[in-house]
Amino acid sequence: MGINKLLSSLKTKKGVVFPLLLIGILIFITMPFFKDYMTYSTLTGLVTKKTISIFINTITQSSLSVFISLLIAIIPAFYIANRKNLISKLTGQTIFIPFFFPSVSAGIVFSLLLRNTGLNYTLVAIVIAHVFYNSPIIVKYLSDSISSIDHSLIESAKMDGASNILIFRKIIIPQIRDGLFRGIFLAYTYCFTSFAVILSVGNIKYSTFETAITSALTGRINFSLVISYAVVQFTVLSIINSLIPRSHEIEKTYNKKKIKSNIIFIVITIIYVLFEWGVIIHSMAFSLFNNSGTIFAPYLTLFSREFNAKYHVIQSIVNSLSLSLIISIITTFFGYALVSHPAKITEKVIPSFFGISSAFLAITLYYCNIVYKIPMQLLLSIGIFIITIPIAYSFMYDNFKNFNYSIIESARSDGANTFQIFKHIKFPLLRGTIIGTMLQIFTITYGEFTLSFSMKIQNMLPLSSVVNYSLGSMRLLKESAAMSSLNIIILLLIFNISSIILKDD
Amino acid sequence: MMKRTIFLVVSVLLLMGCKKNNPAENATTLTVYSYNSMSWIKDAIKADFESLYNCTLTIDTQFTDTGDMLSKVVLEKKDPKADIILGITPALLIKAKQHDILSQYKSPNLKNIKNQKLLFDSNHYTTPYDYGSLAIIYNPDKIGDLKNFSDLWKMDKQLVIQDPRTSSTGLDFLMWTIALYGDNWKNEWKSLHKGILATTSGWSESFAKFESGEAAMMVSYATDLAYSYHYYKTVKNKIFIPEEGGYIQIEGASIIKGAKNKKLAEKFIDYVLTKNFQEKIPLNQWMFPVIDVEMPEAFNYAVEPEKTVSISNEIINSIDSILEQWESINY
Repeated sequence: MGINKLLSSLKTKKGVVFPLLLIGILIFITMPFFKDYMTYSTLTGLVTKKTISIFINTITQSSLSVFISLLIAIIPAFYIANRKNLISKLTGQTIFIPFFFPSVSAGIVFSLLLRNTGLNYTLVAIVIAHVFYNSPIIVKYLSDSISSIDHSLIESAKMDGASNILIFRKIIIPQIRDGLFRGIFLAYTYCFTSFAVILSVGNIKYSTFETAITSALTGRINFSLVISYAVVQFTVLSIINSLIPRSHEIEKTYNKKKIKSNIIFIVITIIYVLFEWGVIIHSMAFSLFNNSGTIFAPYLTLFSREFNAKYHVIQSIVNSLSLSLIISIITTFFGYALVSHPAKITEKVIPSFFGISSAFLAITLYYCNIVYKIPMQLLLSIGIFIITIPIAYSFMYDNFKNFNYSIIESARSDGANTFQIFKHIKFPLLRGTIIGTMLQIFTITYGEFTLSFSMKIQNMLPLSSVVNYSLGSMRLLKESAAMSSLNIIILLLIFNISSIILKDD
Repeated sequence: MMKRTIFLVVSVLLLMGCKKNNPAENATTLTVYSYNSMSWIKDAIKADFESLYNCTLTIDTQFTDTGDMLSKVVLEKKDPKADIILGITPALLIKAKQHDILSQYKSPNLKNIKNQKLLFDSNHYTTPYDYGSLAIIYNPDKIGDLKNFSDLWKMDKQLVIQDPRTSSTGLDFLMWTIALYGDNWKNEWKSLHKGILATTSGWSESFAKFESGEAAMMVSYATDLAYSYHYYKTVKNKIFIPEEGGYIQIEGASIIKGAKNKKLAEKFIDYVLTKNFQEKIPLNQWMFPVIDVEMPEAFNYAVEPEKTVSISNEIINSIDSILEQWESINY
């Protein structure tokens, strides 16, 4: 049975239920806000001169940032796809940066680094910060795609006399296209919805829809305008997502060949690693000493009883770890359900969730608490679930696409039920993907800021990212940097322990 | 598995949805909202007010600014969670009135206010509790002496201001320029443009840039030198209030319409005009109290402008239009 037929056969009603459930939840939480605040001016707000100006700015900075990120990512991606050493490991681990290094910290670091260059508050500064922040996503997706290139096709083409350009166009590009486009889309989405970076190193004229939403919320208190901006952002990203080609062809996992890297590739990759980790190390080094030069003093302050009585640092770390664990399990489980039951609606709907504005989602969740009396903690969990589900889906998509479904067909014909298939076939074979996805969601949840901050949940549920921000805003900069570093260490430890456990995979 | 998932999610939603979480349910609880710089009131006045009125005072200062706080209060209009909000300025009072979220109350302690000009709302939707002059603080090593506002116009990317759409300090700076230049304010802003290094979302972000040496001057308050003297026993920066006139920012306390504890809320408004509250303002809020209290030594370094300018109600009422015009200059 061909893979397309097999996938089609799996597109049963089950595949439709999960995305519909997600749409239902989204409608449930946004409807009260739409109902009470969508007015005629919401429609007029869609096409004002200012909306067009924000649209052009957002598109320009996102496109430039992603284009340069792609250029910068090509060689490091190629390197780590073909080498297994410390440099490739450090390059690969930069994928944590966009997901757990607080964007607020990234903005502050770049604002300081660029302060004497005359570049601050220009488009160049925004692009540099975005390249730092989002190029690891392209490196990750591109390197995964390069790793799965079937070299037997290249060798055959060479024997038939095909030129390198022809091989690149006709053999390599089709094989890396899916992963590359998904990486580009993810990076594009993060640039498009950028908030802290724009506020720190940008300026008003470089407003994105996300910053415009916040201005409309707090300055104008114009909820109707908030809806206009959120709708435009969602629509634009959904359109871009729908233009991304997707193939259901299975990527072959044999005939892989390691290509030797030349010295230029090694040097460029090392420069990339220094650029990415240098910013993190700069932030960590800043946190080592207090103003009087005592080593580790900011860390000791973080754990002192008096400090915790006021800022709840330890409690916030425990809360964030617990919330991250719960959300990562639920989201991964749901993401697994989505990719296990492929359906056209899933492919169209789920990636469009990337376009949901976090600031807008936060305000609708806050309103849900008022209208439905649903506890904030639960609403925050739902919010994080909504923003992480497309990421879980995207991470698992490739591996599930490559999964050999004929094994399941055989097991079913032998009478195995869904649970038995999961326990004895899918989980053992996809253990690495499932746990890897869970870890990514764990990290994203741990570092999540916009929702928890905008929902004003700190009194009920202090979370690490918000407490960290509060320290910064109280000008406890050393303690804030120490907490950022501590979070990085916690998450790196979790990732590396998991890597050791999953070594066989 | 699919059925189990749906069942689990729906059950959790329903179960959690049944739980109430209204902090203001308790009749003896008073809930106060303010922005994060006001968090000092938790330590300074909470215990005192609770013991005076045998109640629980819940203070929520998670809001980045008064605008952030107001937007949440507007959302909560159907079922108010707060009884009191602290930090309303004349410009933001208009917003609050437009959304009909405040309740009137005329405190008997208004008679204690030292200068009746501070009563910026004759309808008593808000009660002033502190004030201070806006000022430009600058590093004298980088900037020479300044006399009038047009000196700022000559600068080249030196000044950090706050976004008037997200910061009450930024909004009042905009109002200051309108008070000085009237209808010509847009042209003056176009000239000022080249002097602006950055527009930050709030005062703290501006101060971070000023403190790190990235910016040589910023829009702030005339009490900054008092702060510097109090904590560092030095006043290395300078304050500039143009000779054309200073602009006074006044902050007020208001009772939320539909407050669950109106009587206790009224007691709180009375309380902010007592010595117990007012004497805590100078060294915590770094503003001037509205009643006469003994001032700390550091306030010898705080500046009160001899000449002040103000804006008309007509200007305040057209704040949305002004912000749109300001955006058009800056986009």
